[in-house]
Amino acid sequence: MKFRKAELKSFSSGSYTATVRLAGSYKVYLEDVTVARNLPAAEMVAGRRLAVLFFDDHSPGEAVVVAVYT
Amino acid sequence: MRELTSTLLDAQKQATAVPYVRVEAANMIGGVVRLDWTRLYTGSESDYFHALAMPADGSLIRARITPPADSRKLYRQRIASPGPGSDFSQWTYTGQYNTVVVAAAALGTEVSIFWINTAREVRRIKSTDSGVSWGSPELLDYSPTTAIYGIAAAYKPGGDLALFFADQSTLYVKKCIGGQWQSKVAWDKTTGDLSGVAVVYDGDFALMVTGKDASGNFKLWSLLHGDGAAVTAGTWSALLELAAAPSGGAFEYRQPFLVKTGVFRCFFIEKYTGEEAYSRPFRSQAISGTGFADGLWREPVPFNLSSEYGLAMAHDNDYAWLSGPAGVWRAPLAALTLDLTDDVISLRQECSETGGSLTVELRNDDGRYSVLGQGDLSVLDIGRRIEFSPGYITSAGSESSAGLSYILESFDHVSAGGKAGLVLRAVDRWTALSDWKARHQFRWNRTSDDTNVLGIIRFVLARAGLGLAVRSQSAAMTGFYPDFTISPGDSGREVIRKLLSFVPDVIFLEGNVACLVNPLASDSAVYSYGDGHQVFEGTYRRGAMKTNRVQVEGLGDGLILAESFTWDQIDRLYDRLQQVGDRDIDSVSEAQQRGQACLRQSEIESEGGSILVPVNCGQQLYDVVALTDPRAGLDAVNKRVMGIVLGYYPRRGEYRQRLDLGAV
Repeated sequence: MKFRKAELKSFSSGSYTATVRLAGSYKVYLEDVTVARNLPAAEMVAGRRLAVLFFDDHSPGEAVVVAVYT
Repeated sequence: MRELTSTLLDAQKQATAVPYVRVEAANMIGGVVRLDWTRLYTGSESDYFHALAMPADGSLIRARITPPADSRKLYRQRIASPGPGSDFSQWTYTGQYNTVVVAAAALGTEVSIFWINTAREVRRIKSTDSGVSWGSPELLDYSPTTAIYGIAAAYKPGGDLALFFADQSTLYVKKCIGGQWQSKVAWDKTTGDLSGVAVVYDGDFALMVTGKDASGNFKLWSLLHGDGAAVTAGTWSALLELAAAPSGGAFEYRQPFLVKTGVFRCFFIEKYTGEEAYSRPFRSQAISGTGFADGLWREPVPFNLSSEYGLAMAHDNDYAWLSGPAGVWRAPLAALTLDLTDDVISLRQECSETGGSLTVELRNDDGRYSVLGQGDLSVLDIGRRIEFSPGYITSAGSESSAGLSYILESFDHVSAGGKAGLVLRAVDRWTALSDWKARHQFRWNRTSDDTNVLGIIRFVLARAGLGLAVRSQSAAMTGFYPDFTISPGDSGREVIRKLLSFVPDVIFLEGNVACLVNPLASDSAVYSYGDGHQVFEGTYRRGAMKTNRVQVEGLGDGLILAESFTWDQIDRLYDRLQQVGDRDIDSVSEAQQRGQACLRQSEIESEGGSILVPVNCGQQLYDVVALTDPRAGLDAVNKRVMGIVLGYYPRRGEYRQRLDLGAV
C-alpha cells in the first residue's frame, strides 16, 4: 500500500473518477482513478493537489483519491 | 544448459583437468557496438531543416535550408573523405529558395536531395557520381499544402526509391519504380498534424513519425510501409508508440531521424515549453534480435545538444555519422575487444535469481593496466562489457562456453607487498533493470485486453535494453491481461518481479537476454552430477512448504474465489494459508492459475542445499540436474539449480562451482 502525490487534471462527477498527474509523471496522466465519495465534487477543481492511495502499487483499478488539498 | 562440444563435456568430467578461463572486454551495449560520438565540427550555421546521406564512396553529403529571414535558401555540401581535418563549413548554394523541408538519400554512387517549396513543388536534384556533380532540378509532384514539416527518402537495393512527406495530418508516399515516378499515395491513419518523418529501407520501409494523434496528444511512432518483408507490399502497419505527451501539456516531439547500424537507431527532438524550456535531441535504439515491427526500443536518453531540428544520421562501413547544420559527429562502428585471458589471477562469478556479478583480478605488475579507457585500453573502462567464458583445455584445444557478459561497474587498483593488480567488478543486467526507472506513467489494459503479462515484461525489459527469449511459458503468461500501471520512479527490477508474481514462470539473465522459463515438476534433467561428473561435497535440505493452501480472490465485480491445496503438506503440518487478492482476476480459472503459481513457488523453495563440483561450463540457472550421492542416499534424484557461484583461483589450484539447489 502506498500513498502518492498527484495533481488533478479533470474530474467526472458522474462516475466519481478523476484523471490525475502523479508527481514525476510529466508526460502521461493516469485516467479513471476512483475518487472517495466523501470528497465533495465541488472541491475537485483541476490543478489542486491530491493524495492517491494505491492498495497495490501496480493496480490502478485499486487506487483511490482520498484527499484533495490546496 | 548451454550446449557444449563433446570434447568440452569430456574434459569437465575428468578427475583432473586444466582450466581455461576466457575474459574479454568489448565496446558493446545491448548486443551491438556502443556508439561513442566525437564532435568534429562546430559551426555558426542557423539551426533549421537539414539532411544527410552517404554514397558508397564514403563521402558525406549534407543539405540545409536557411531560416525564413534568409529566404529559405537550399545549400548542399560534399565532404570527400570526412574526418577530423575536414572543412565542414563550406556550402554550395543550389539556387533554390523558399524551400520548406529537405531530405537526402543515397545508393551506390547515386544521391538524391529532395525538397518541397512554398509553391508546393516537390523537387529533386540527383547526382550519379556520389555528389561531385548534380543534375537540374526535377519537378516530381505537388504537395496539397505548404504545411509540410517532415520529409524523408530511402532507396531500395535495386535502385527504386520512396519519398515520404507529411502534409498536415497525412503522410504521403511517392515511389520511383524502374525510374518512373508513381502517383503519391496517402496513408490510412487518422491523426492530428504531423511534425516529422524518417525512413530506412530494410525489406519494408521502416518509418519514425512525430506529430499529434486525433486527440491532440503528442506522439513519436514507429510504422512500417510494406514492401513484402514483414508487411504486405503497399500497406501500412499499425502505429506503435515510442513516446507520448498529453495535449495541452508542455512537451512535444518532432524531427525524427533513423538509421540502421546493427540495430535501428533513432534520434528525435523533445521540446519542452515550460519554464527553463528546452529543445533537445534524444536517442534510442531498437532491441537487438527484435524486428522493427516489434516496436521494442530502449528508453530514450538525452544527447548533449540544444537543437530544434534534430540530428540526421548516416553511416558507412567504418563510422556512424550525425549531422546538423552547425555540427558533425562520428562514432566508430568497429567491434573492439581486448583479450584479458592471460592476465587473470583470480575470478569469481555469482548468479542468483535476482542478480549476478563478476569479479576478476588481473596482474598489473608491469603497470599494463595503470590507465584504463585510453589507447589500447579504450575498451576497458566503466560501462564497458566484460565477457566471461568458462572452459577447459581439451583434446581439441582451448574450449569455452560463451554467452555470459557483464557491465564493468568499478575497478580497484591494488598495490601491496611488491605486487600490483587490477580488480574488475562487473554486474549483470539485473543492475540495468534496477537502474531503469520509469519517468512517467505507463498503463496497460485500461479499457481492453491489449497486452498480456508476457507483452508487458517484454516492454519493460526492452526499456532497460534487454531482449527476451522464451524457453517455455505458462498459459497465464499469455492469457492474463492485468490492468497494470508503472508509476514514476518504479524500477524495472521491481516491476518485473511484480509481473512474475502473477505467473509460475521465472527469468534468468544471460548477456543482454532474459530467458523465460516455466519450471515444471515434470521437467527432465539436462545433466548429471555424481555419475561421471564428480561431486566434491553436498548438503541437501528438504523442508516444509511455507504455503500449502492458497485462497485467491478476484476483487472485481462479483466474488471470484478459488482455493489451491498441497494436501500431503496440509495433512502433515496443518494448513499454512496465503491469501491473494487481485481485482484483475475475473474468472475461476485465472484464480486457480494464480493459486497454483503460489504453491509451485513454495514447493521449489521447500528444498534447498548445494553441491560443490568441478566447473560445468554450460550450467544455467533453473536447469534440472540429476544428482547421485550415495553418501546422502541420492540416486539420480532431480534437483533444480537456483544459484551458481564459480571460483577460479589458480594459485590455490581451485576451479569449482557451487550450485544452490531447489526442488524440481
